[in-house]
Amino acid sequence: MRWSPDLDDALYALRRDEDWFARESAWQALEKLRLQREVDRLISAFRSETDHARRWSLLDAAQDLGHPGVVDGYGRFGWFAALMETEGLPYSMRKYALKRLKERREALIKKLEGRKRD
Amino acid sequence: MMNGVAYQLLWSLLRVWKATVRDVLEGPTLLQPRGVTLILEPPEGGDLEMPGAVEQIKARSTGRPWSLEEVIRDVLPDLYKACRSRTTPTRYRFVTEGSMGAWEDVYHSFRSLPARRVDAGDPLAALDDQQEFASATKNRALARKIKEAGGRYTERGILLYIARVLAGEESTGKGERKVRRPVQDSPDVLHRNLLRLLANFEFEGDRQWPVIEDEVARELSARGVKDHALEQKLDSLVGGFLRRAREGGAVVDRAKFLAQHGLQAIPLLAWDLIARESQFSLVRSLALHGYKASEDCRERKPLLNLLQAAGGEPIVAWGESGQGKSWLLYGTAEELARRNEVVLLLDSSQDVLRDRDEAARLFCERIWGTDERYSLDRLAQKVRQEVPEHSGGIWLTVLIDGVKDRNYLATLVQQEWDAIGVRVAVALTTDTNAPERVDEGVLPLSVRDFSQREVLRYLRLQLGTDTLLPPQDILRLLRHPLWARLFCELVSGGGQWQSNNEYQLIEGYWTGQAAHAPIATDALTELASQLIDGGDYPWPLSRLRAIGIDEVAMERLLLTRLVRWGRSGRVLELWHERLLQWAISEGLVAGLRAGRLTSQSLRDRLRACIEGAGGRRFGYVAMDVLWLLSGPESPRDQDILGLLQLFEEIDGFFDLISTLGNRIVPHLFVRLRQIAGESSYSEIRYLEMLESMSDPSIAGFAVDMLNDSSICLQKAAARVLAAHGSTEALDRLWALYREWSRNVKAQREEGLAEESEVDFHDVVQTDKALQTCVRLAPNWLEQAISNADPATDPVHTLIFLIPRVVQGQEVWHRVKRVAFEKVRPERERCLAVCITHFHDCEEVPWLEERVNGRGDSLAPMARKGLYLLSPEGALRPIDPDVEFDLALARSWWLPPLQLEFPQETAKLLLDTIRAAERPWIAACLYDGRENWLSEETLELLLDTTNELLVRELEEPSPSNHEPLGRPFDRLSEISHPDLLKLFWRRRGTELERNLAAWLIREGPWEEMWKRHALDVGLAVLHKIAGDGIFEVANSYLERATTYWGRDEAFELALRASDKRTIEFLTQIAFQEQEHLAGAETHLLDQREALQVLAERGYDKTVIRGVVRWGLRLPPDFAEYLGGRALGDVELTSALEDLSLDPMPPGAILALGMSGRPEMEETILSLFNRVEPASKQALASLLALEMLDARSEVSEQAFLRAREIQDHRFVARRVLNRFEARRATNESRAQVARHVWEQRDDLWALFEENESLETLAHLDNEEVREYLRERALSESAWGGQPSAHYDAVRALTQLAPSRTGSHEGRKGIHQPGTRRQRPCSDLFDRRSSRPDLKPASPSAMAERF
Repeated sequence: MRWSPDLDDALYALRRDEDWFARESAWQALEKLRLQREVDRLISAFRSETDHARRWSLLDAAQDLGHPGVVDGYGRFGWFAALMETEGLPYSMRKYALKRLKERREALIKKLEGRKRD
Repeated sequence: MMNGVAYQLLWSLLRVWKATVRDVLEGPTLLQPRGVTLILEPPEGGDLEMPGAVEQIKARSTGRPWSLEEVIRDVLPDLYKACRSRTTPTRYRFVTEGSMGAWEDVYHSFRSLPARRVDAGDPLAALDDQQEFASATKNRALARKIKEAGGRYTERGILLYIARVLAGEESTGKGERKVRRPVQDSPDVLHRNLLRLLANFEFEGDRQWPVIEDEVARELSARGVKDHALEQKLDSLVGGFLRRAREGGAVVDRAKFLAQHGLQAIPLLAWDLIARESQFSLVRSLALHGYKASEDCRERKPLLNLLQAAGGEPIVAWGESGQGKSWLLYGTAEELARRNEVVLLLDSSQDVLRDRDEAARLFCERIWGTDERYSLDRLAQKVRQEVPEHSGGIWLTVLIDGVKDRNYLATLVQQEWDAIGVRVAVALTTDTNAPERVDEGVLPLSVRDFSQREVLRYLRLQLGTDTLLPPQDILRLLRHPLWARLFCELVSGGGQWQSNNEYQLIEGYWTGQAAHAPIATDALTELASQLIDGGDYPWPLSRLRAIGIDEVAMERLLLTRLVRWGRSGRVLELWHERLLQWAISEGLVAGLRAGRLTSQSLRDRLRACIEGAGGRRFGYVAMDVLWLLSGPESPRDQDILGLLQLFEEIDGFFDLISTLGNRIVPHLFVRLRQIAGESSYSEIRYLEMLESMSDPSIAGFAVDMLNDSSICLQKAAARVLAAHGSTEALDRLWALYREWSRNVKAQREEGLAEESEVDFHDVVQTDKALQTCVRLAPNWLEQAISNADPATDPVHTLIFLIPRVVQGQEVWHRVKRVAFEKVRPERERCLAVCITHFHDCEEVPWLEERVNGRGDSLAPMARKGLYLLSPEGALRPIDPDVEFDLALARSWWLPPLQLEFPQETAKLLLDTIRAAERPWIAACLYDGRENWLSEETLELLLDTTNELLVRELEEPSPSNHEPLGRPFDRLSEISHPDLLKLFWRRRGTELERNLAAWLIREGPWEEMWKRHALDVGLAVLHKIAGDGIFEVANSYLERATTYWGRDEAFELALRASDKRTIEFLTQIAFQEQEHLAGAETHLLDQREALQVLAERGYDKTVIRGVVRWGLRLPPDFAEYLGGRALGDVELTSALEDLSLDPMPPGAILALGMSGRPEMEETILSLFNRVEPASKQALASLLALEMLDARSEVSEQAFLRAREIQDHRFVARRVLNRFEARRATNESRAQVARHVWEQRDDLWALFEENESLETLAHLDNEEVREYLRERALSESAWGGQPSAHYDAVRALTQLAPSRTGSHEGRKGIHQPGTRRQRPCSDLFDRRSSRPDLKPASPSAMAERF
């Protein structure tokens, strides 16, 4: 899920909730959400960066932090779409980004499949 | 003379049919034609009379034309006699083989009389007497006679002449003969009648004998007379006519006459009547099967569409018994009939050839109406001959219900249905749970359960809108159509059905119905149980009689509504296969209870049912029998145990045991007691089964088992109780927990763990059971804490339970003083948990004293509690001795502090790490959460890493020790933009130089597997993004001896390169040596090098490489050139080599990569010059594809290439794009409609490269509900590939989430934007088939 101030506020308000499980879940979600905000900053920096090697490092970082989604098509929206729409995006970067997205998605699906509900 | 008679009879015969076709009226059965009679040789005159017409029939085998004079002399006298006796409008027809002579002008003139006004006083006044007919010159003799009689060859003159002939005043031929019986009418009457005759006179000439004979034969054939019997039938009919015609005025009743000669069939020519008769036949058949369209809530479209789309393949609607396959066929049949199609519905005999014969018989007897027998092939041939509109297409649909044997399908597909114009659909019952692909050559259609909407509609239709609907769990069960029907019958019959499982439902239904005829039903169950050995079914009357079912018993049996008459009305069957299996089970259990069967023979029979030993498989019987045996009134314990043992051995049946619900629970425990302690697979499965069941009785049985003296049983019981809590188990569990934890502790101290009956795992399991059982027992817990002996009892375990109970807060406040006293110091974490859980602010000081408490993870829990109750306490300095504890449980306390107090927390951690002797060890407080490092801490760690690098470069560690592995690993995880900049700041610094030096010293890594330290070290170098990248790359490119050694270098070179890097890459790009992999060589190094060179803009070198390696380069290679237009200078090598013979394919490819549209013409010219199947031709096609050539000429080239084996993939791929470009919204919606209709056969969709995602183009509520159902379903078995995800994607497009929703909608609806992809993607995906790999992965990118 992409970061938004409303969502951030809602989760932040739950950080001290009476319910043990509610506040623990709020911490985890808020941490992940705030990192998603950084993804948008990385993409923005990537689009304006002119140094080739730094662009690659920004691309790596965005790929590491950005949520890959669990279904094909998730990347049509949000940070990945913004990345792919970068003007003049070299083919090697495009291909690399797609490959990394797929790998991270597969890893995430595997992780989620192993998850048990209480 | 005889010829004339025969001709007359033959014509009359033809009239028998010709007169009928137009005269059909809708009678009671809608098909009875109006009673038509023909009169042979009517006494009033003429040869043949039929409704509305009198005919005079004359043969003339010479074909000579009839002159007017001959007609006046030989035809009109007889017709006049017929005319004078009739007042109703009648046609007077002359039928003959000859043609009309030269007097058409006279004929047409008299035919126009009805349009003229006739003076009642002077009828002749309407006739012209001034203008002679032009044909006078060709009828000189007649004209002369008329003149001699005082007239002229005019209308009036001719009529007066005819009147004179009829009155006997004129001779009528060469022999000057007068008419035999002159007319005695007065001139006025004669003239009036004659005027009427001539006005209604018709000349039907040129009716040649052979033509009439053919027509008659065709009529006979269309009524079912076989070819070889035509002549005989014709003779018989003519003979029949002759006999009747011997006496004048013979009346022929057509219906009777046809029936007498077996010709009552509907002529095939009248196909609309055939279709209507098919409807009537179907109505009868549906009524016999109890089908009521008004109660059918199923959608028929899937089968209808498959039937219409099928290319001759039979359709197999398959599914479990009771899924509604029969009604699907019935509904479809009705719909087809409504569309005027001829359709047959039949119950399968399980033999395809017999079913074919039955279909032919039904068509002949019930629809066509002939007594003749034809095979389906002959029928097809006849229909195609007789019915022009069915000469090549489908004329019959056969729907076959009740197929049970999969082998049937093999024979079914061997029939040439398409060739004979017959469409076939069968309903196949499979009682296996796992859906399989049905055999090749058929179109499968899965008949699934009702949707929620369908079942609700069904219940409302059946029970009315006022009836309360059952609860959700029952509704779920009722989605099975059979149960929905049973439910409705129970409820509408006033039954008190309450259960929520299948067995109760069917048992309730059976018992209720059997009450109408208990003895006869019992006898029937015994008969049913014999089917396992292969008895006849449905039961013939003789079989029923043999078991004592007489007329009275049968009458009562039919009242039960369990049975119905079979096809012929002479066999009896249960109305549903599922009921048959229940009857078998009833029979078996009754046999066992009555002593007719032994336990062993029961097991043998059940095995036979499962394995289908008697020729048929009865998959439901096993569980039905188990259900009946475990009935609470008189359970058969030993037999049940025997069956449980049997099912343990049979795949797929053990898992079904739990479906029996609570009545099987006691028996499961009995069996578990038998095998507990064996650690067998069965024991584990029984335990898992009990854990997964939700019956409340389970806990009681588990408590009993817990109280057993056997430790094995106690352990099993504890596991079950962890899933099904019971307060009654608490004392025993607590006792066992204490005992076992003491034993485990003692064993651990004495090192005897392996020899003990209990281990740590059992203690944990018991703890879990305590947690579940204690929930509703706060008093017990309070009492237990109060009674616990701190010296011997694990009091902390009880304290941990307090947050688990309802009213835990009150319990905590009541017992906490006792708890603080009794919990031993090394177990205090339980107290911190309770303080935190219940926000006990009174105990903040207690927590503060323990922020650096040692052991038992006390310190992290204390800091967690303090974060909530007094945050400053949580940020107190960290004692080095508890660093490890705090790091180990960092997720308990650090996240909330970092979120709410980032700076203070960062300082605390920085101070701790800075003070640590080995900062990277202390830095494990950040492990897994490196992006939360503060900038100062990262700077510190980068400096520390550099120091480690310096030491390593000075004195390398032993090979089994990687001191840099951990720092690099942690640093490589950092992606936060603020932290990334700190890496960039290290560009050109000592850290980068040392890191590069270390990587150069340690690399290149020449193996296929990775060395972790080196790998993560390179990742850190990537982050620094400085010159170190190409320094390492150059070193690796220079020194590596394998592809694996160079692999990393290529990636580095993509990121940064210098002149030397380019030199290395150029050299590698043209090296002849290739990478060895197995028995083949691969162009790996050259490809990688050229890709980097292309990306870096060394176009001239790249084009040389393309020319050199040609088709061996990857299909997406052109993409690396980034769409730049290449000039002639860059293309020099390619342009030069185009003149070589043979032309290198790479030179053509290079033109495709040029990015210059004008090259299309050149490439097409080359394509037309080279051999169509050559590599050069393939290169041309690929080059056109790269240029995105869209001209018609190019499309033609691809169409031609589609026929070439090696070129067809690229051709199809590009042609698909042509098609996609032409696609409209309507065509997309059409594809979506196809997917909707096929949605029950996801495999077929998968094979068509379609998916549910396409449904995004059909936005209606039904589609959305279906997609939601799919998307929310947790089942994702292999037979439904990606259905869940496809549904999610479709919903995303129909109703995108709030974030990005506007963009998503724009993407779909706004043409011209880049986000229009969701639509075009539908078509691009076709190119993602394995055989259509896109040359350009930009298409692949659309699916991210």
